[in-house]
Amino acid sequence: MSEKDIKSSVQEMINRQTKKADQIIQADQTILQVTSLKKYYRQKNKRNVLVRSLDGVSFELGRGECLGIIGESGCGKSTLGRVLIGLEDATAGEILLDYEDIKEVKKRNRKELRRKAQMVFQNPFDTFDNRIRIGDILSSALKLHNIGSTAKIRKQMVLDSLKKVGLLPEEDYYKRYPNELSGGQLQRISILRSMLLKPEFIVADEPVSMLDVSVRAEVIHMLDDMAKKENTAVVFISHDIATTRYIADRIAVMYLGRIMEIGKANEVITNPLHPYTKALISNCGDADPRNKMKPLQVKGEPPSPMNIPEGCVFSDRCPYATQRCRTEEQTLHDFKENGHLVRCRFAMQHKENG
Amino acid sequence: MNKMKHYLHRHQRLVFGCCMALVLVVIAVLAPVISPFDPYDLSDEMMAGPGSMHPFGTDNLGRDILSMILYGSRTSLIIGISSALIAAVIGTVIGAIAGYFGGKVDMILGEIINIFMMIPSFFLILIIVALFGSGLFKVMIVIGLTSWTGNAKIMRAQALSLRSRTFVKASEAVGEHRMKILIKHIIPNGIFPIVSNTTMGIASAILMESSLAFLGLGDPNTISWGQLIANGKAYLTSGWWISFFGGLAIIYTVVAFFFIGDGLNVILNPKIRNVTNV
Repeated sequence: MSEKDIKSSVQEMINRQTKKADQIIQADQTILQVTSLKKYYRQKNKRNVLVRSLDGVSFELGRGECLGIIGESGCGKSTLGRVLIGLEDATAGEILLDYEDIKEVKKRNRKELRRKAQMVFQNPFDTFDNRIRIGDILSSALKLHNIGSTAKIRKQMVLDSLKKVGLLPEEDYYKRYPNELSGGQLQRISILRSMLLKPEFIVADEPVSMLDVSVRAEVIHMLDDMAKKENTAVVFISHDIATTRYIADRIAVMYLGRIMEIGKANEVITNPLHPYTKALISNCGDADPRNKMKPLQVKGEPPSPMNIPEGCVFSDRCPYATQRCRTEEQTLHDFKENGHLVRCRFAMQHKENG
Repeated sequence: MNKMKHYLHRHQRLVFGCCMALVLVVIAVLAPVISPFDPYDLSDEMMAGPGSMHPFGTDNLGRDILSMILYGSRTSLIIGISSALIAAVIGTVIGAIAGYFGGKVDMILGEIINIFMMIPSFFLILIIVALFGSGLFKVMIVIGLTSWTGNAKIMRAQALSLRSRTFVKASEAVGEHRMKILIKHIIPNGIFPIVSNTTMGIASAILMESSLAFLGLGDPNTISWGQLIANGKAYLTSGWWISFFGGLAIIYTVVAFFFIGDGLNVILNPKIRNVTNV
């Protein structure tokens, strides 16, 4: 890559970011409303111990909006994704898809929910059955949802869509088997399959974490472009903060099955309020060597979701924790009154202290 | 050519077993052509020892043993293959449903599998044959209905592991019906161990049929190796050849199918395959 190329791609990135910041998220165009969603699991041998994977998650998602969800392993990101599209049923709480409870949609017509809510999985190499050709995989998804009246029309639709995402020659890809393709190609086909159904929203569960770094941008762009074109909302689950910032309009930070902080992507990243978010972001590498931000050290491991600490769930690791934090459960506060919510009463004070 | 040689060397058992089974199939098909006598023909030479006229001798009714063995291969193959297939189908379906759907379905089907495993199947077959009479077809079905448990256990384990694979989850997410996923993804991807187990099942079904015939519960109107042995039992001291060659034929067939099953297992089981590849 020449220097000019790098410069232009950097410029493009900056343009995208500013464009995103300018976009006003339309709150009245809500597609997904999640209210105090809970998902508890029981352990097999110890049936009285609850594993609280999701413990009261609430957020709203606008039409065509992209919400990034970041957090450590085991914080409940993937569980959230599976519950959102109805692959698993929530223990408590409500998910309204287009102002209708997904439980009701599921009861009425399972396929309807599937058509509205789609998912892209983490491992592209295992997303497809290796015995079935790509073309058949894609057309069977269309057939299942009665899109396209004849096999010929469906084939043409699949070929067109393959062409559109740059998998050329499309006839060739149509005939190939999944094990003959690379991870990036497979993930693009996985996204394509989900988008073929024109869903209202799509959950992407770490869609690029298993891909080679060189093809990540391509796959992310494709997801972003297709979602923007179809005005599909995206829930982008990842532990890669930089990628999430790039694609997401808003970012939610999860810890122990709760949202600790949620707000516009740039706000959350450049101006984190919660000590946990601060720790997460300050420990990320920066491409600029002059930026000598001191990483914020956090002691210990996240507590087990079987044994959630009293008070603020982050209190036993928080460098600013006081006695009050250990007894008082925290709720989400909107200090700046701009939709930047943080689950910490003292967030603004830490800010002043540095 | 070199590659072929290498392949033959690595899968000796499979190739050997296949050759043996092929001989058997050719014999079964060509039985009327290559048999020196009609196996139902009663001749005057009773209890003749092996000689130039009757290579394997004759039995107490003067029937040519060689011809009986050649014709008996038909019975053995039909019974062995059909009942092993019946067992494969039942076992695969029940095991796949139990493993994939899990929960209560798994519990109930698991108990059914256990019940069938606990019942001494040979005893069950004896009762059924005694009650409903024997015939090639009945024996075939009864053997199939009592020997599917092993397949079911294998398929259940396969379905359990396939259930958590992404492509199954992805099919569910796309909206595929669970029954269709079972048929389209779970069974085709988990069938390989069943294939090798079924070949070995052929061997045990043949043994089972022979044992039934030996006890006099086979179809009296068909010629089978077990019956031949049962027949010769009374004359063991004076005419060993009557039982001996039938026994040899059974051993040959069982070994052939066992080799095939074992060879297939090596090829189809990724764990063993990887070890041999090194």
